[in-house]
Amino acid sequence: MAKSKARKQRRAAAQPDTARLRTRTAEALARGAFHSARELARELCKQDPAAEHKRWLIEATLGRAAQLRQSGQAAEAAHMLRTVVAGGFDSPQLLARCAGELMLAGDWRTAEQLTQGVTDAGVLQELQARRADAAVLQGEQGLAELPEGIRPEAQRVLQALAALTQGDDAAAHAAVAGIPTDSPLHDWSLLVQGLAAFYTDGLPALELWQQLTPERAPAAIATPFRAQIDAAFLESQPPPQRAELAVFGRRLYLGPALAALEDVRGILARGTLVTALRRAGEARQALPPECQHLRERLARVMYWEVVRHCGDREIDIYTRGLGAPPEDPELHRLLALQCEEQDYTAEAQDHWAAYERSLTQHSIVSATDAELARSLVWLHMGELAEEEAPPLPPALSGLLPPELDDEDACAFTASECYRRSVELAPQNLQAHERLLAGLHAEQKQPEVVRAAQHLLERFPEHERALEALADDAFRQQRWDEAVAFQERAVRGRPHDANLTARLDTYRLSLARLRAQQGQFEEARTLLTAQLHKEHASDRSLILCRLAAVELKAGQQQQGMELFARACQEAPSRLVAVYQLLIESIRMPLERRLSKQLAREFRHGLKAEVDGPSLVALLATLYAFKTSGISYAGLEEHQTLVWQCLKRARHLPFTEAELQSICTCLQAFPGDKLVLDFATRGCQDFPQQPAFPFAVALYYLSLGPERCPWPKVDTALHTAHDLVQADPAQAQLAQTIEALLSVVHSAMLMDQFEQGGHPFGRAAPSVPEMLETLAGLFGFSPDDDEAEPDEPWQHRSRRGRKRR
Amino acid sequence: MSDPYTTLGLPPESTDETIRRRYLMLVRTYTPDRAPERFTAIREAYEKLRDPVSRLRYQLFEAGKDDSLEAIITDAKASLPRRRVPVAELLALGRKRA
Repeated sequence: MAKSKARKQRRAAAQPDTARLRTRTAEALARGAFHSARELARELCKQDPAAEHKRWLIEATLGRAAQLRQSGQAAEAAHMLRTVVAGGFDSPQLLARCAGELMLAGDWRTAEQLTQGVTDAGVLQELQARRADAAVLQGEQGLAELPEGIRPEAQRVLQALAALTQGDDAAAHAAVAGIPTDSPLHDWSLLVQGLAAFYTDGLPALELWQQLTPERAPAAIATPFRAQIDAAFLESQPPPQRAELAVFGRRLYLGPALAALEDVRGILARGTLVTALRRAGEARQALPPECQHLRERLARVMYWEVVRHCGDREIDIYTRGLGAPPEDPELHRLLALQCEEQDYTAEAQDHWAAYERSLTQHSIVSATDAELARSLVWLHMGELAEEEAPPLPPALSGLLPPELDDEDACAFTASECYRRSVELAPQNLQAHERLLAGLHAEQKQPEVVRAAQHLLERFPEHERALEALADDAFRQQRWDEAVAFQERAVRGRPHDANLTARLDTYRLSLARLRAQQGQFEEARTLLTAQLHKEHASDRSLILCRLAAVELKAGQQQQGMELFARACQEAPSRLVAVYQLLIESIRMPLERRLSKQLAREFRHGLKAEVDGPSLVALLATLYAFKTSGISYAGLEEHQTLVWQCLKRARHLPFTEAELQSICTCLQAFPGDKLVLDFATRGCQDFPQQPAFPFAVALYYLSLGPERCPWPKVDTALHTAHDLVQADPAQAQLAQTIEALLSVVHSAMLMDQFEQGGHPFGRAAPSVPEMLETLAGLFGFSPDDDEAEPDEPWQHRSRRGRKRR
Repeated sequence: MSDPYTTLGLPPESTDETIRRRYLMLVRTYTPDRAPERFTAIREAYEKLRDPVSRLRYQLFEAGKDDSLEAIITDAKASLPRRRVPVAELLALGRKRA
């Protein structure tokens, strides 16, 4: 007795509590372990016969019965289902599922009894569908279980499936054609039509199968077929099912090609290109002749894998297994692309040049396309050259040392390549545009004009070409032509502010020409139109020009009134005096007036001049310097303004004024004033990258012999770090990066000249190399922090660019 | 992305006019609201083949670059001959998966 009590206590202690049982049951149901779930649910119902626990027991039993049926134990499945039938159902959906499962297990009688009392229309419809599915799945003998009304439709479905197997798709379509959309066999009709589409074409099947009810048998049959043509659908399947579907797919396609292709994909995913190339060769052989396009695509895909991998062995295996592609018979292009992958730009250009020659030798493209193809290759070679040595903005080129003796330089310059590209295919607009931009960047003015004229022959209204010709005409003081070209350019891009601003400038000059020709009315019209523009930026200048026209026309009073208005609009009277003085010289006006204005100008400059006036005076001198236009007395006026600027060095300036002064002074290389103002900018506004950049430009303007490269490097790095914080200054950032690469080359060359090889011997070790580089760039390889010794110097090495 | 000719369903020797007509037909069928991904693929393919210069540029520098084994396998499944599955096997498949 005592022994039995102890056993009961032990059993009670070993029994899990209800909460734990619930958790375990729910988990087992979720992972599809229906056998365990059923045992747990039964125990749970014993402990707590709640409705939810009974539902779980039915769910587990239905799942387990399906597993038994699928493994061929239909009788056991039916027996298990009958155990839950007796307990009743609180949900009509569960009842329908149970009835359906009983039908699938072959126990039609119990299913019939179970559904006798059902009145809900939705459930009845579901039961009908389940009955139809179960009957068709059992073949001819199952049809007897269907109501008389739908038996012929089920018969037609079986006939259609048989016709599909025999390859008679038309008969299959005809058999299911009469099945209405509200029939429980409509899903079977969709399955048949989808299968017919799948066997012939493939993709149209998707649209049909997407309409299937997911819980029904037709959808279950369609699943492995659909997975072959619908990648997203395959991806949505659980991983174990995905593997099963892949196996089904392999059995579905005839021949070894698909298996070989899938192998290549798997091998590539593991990163073993050599093996993948060998298997790809086999896959190519296995593809039937009617899939020639797939053979070519496979070869191309592997070609690009070889390009990315950049190995010689891979090239050898590729050519042996897949052969050289028709568009690259000598593999020059492959080598060029490999070099590009590894940033060996000069070598890449050499290989492209070889490829360009092979284009003609091997008839890679049709005879009509040959010249254009060669042109495109030259264009690409030009892009590579430009990438290797990016052109600097016009204001900066000329400041740097002459071309460095760079062994890695491309054999052809960008301009040479673009010119060749244009020669080969004048219809290639991009080649024209690149050539024009490149020559413009190199400031080769006569060649720019020739290139623009050549471009206009093919593309008569090309804005950039028109703009280039307008600019050249302006420089040559052919104002009529400048305005005419610029007006055509503006017609192409009417909203381009730069284009319209330049047109305004050209029109002001044309107005002077008209006044000189005695056509005062036209001059007045041109100037008045400029004055009345909504955003006329320099009203004092226009008023001075208008005053000069009136004075030239003999209208003294009107002229002086306009000049008085100009004085009010200008930052100071001094600025207006200078503007009218220039006009009096260039027009020319009466000598007496010029002398009077010159006197006032000199006198005004001797007094203290404020910041805005200084900026305006400098901007005028800058405009003359950059346009290359001069007038009698320009040098004297420049000297006077310089003297005034020197005296004004310690005046208070705003950030914008200092920046404008530095920008204007950069047009006068070698002038130490720019260093004074830029250093002051670095101190007063340490977050502005334009000031350290101006310091660097000043040092560069001293020429390669006198340029202190480390100081340039420091200033450029400071500017580079600052400019990163301002996305609006992306262009300045690009310029700084271009300059940095040149400066670093120059510094390395300097080291060569001073001490032979910068590393002392041919093959330095990594620590030695780091130490040498550290010496070159003035930092310790162990300590990344440096003490600033210049006002602009708070450098970080992260932004450094080295070649 | 697949080969542009495959995306448009055209042979490589197609002319400007053929390519344009096919493109217009496809974008009318696969509109951005109905099939956004297919529409984008069609647009990108057309951009590569729209004129002789673009086509030649594609042929010289990009042919096959954006193609993938995944796309080739998908297309192979569409074009390789398939085994007709017998009725008994189909029904067994249904019984097993239902």
